[in-house]
Amino acid sequence: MTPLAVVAWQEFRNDLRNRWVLAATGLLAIFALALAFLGGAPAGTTGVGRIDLLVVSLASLSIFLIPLLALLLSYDSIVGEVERGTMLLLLAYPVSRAEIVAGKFLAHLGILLVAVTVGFGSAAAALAFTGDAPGTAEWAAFLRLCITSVALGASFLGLGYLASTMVTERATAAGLALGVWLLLVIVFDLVLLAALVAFGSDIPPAAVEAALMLNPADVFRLANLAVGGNVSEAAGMVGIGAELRLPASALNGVLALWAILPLAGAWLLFRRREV
Amino acid sequence: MNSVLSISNLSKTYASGFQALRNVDLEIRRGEIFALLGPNGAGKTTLISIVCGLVNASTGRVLVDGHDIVTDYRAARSMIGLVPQELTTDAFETVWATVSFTRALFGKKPDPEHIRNVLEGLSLWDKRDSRLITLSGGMKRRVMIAKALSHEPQILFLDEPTAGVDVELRRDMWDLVEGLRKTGVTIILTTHYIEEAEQMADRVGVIARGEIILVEEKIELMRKLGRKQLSLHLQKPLERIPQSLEHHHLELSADGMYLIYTYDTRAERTGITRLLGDLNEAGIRFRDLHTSQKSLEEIFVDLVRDRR
Repeated sequence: MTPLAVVAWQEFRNDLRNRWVLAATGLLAIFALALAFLGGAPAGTTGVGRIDLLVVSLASLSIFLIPLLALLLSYDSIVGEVERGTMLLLLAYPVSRAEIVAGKFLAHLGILLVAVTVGFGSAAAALAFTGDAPGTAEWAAFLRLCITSVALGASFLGLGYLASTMVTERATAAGLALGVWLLLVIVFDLVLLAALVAFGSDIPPAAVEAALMLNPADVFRLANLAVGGNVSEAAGMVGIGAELRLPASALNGVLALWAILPLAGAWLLFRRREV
Repeated sequence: MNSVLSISNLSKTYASGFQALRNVDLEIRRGEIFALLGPNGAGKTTLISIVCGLVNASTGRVLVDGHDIVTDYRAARSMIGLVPQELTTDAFETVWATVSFTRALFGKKPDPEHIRNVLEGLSLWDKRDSRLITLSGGMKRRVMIAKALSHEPQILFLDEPTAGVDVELRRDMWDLVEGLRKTGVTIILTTHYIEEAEQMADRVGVIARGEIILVEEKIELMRKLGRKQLSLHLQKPLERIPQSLEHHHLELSADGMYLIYTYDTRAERTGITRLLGDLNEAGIRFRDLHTSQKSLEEIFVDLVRDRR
């Protein structure tokens, strides 16, 4: 195994012992199952598939829980190891700092993948085995949700690492991570909404679209709920989808950028940091 | 000289402006035990940290068996095992897992036989399946050494290996280091304890205020550090030292009330008995006497002062 793979595997094993991560994953699965059965009730009246409705429900759930899980995984991954002293020893090994950051990222991405697969997969499986078999388009929307959920998590992982490399105490990193979550998941949309209500048509659509790109949670929402099909209809975002000038591939690209840029920033900060 | 570690013109200034190292030059011979002595804040840990890649040097160069620690860091670090001062372990891992993990990080193939030998050599074999959180401080320190030896390093850094450990473990540690020397591992240890250097080292380096102020064979340094002073409080002041006592190289205090005799505790004879006899013959009476020995820190300060 390469040092990168060793770091990633060790981190993955450590995270599997993390009770907060287990609790968040369990919560994700419980909510997903609850939404699968309770949220599927309107399927008969709207004409959209049960999986489509599940995607709409899970997308809203993901925006809250996936960033939280990602930040829980990442906020202390650098500063925590520095504080415990284990980073000191790790840096004395023939492992580059880029490999340490990348190894942790891969491990945490793996945890997110497990959480999404277990959480969302159990809900989808429950629906698939208890009613009519979903169509290909429904499964495609579900798969897009799973992939973009992991990508959303990846962007918050990067933000978590950034918080973890910027500070010298775990408690500060935790506060910073919580602030990031509140800002991007709750406050950002409220401020945007308030601006739209206050200034209305004075704000050009391009500016609104650009503002939405500044928040990975909004990019995730658009990538799942505003790209057309039954899901957009079920989510009530057909109109927004029609006005959206960015294609789905561009939204995926922006989400990928959100995953890469904070990660690169964290690596740059970590590279300069003396332990 | 067959150097395994070559440090040249190494300096380190931290962002705060504190200069931790100043133009350090040092050559470590292959297979020796080198003790780096110095008071707190002298630069010992900074020096080790730079060699091990934990801290970036401001200027200078370090070669580990010819490999530059910056441009060829993988090869350089592969040759080094570090036992840090702090016990930094993953509390929930087992002894076997954490030592094996360290070996893997060095890109080495699994070698259960080697790991077993290391654990047995450190009396850890019975604890191989124990979680680190359940081990005593002494056992954890052994685990740190096992981790450092897991990849068969050629150089082992021991940063204050016996700081805060009991006498028994300290003795065990000394035996362990002696055993490692026999396998050909070069050992560099930092310590406050002069007796530790005395027990283990072949050569001793003294660092103070970021400067290597001397590097000497242990025996020579021990001779210097072994000097004590006998101070005699006289009943009557002397104007000068009598000619019959000149061969004792005595010093007379300014007020004439004290005679000071410097002697070597490691010499075959200290000369104290003869001095007291000669004083008696010369009719010099004293009301009190006491001996004193400079602390290591005082000797460091003197050494620094002497060099300036």
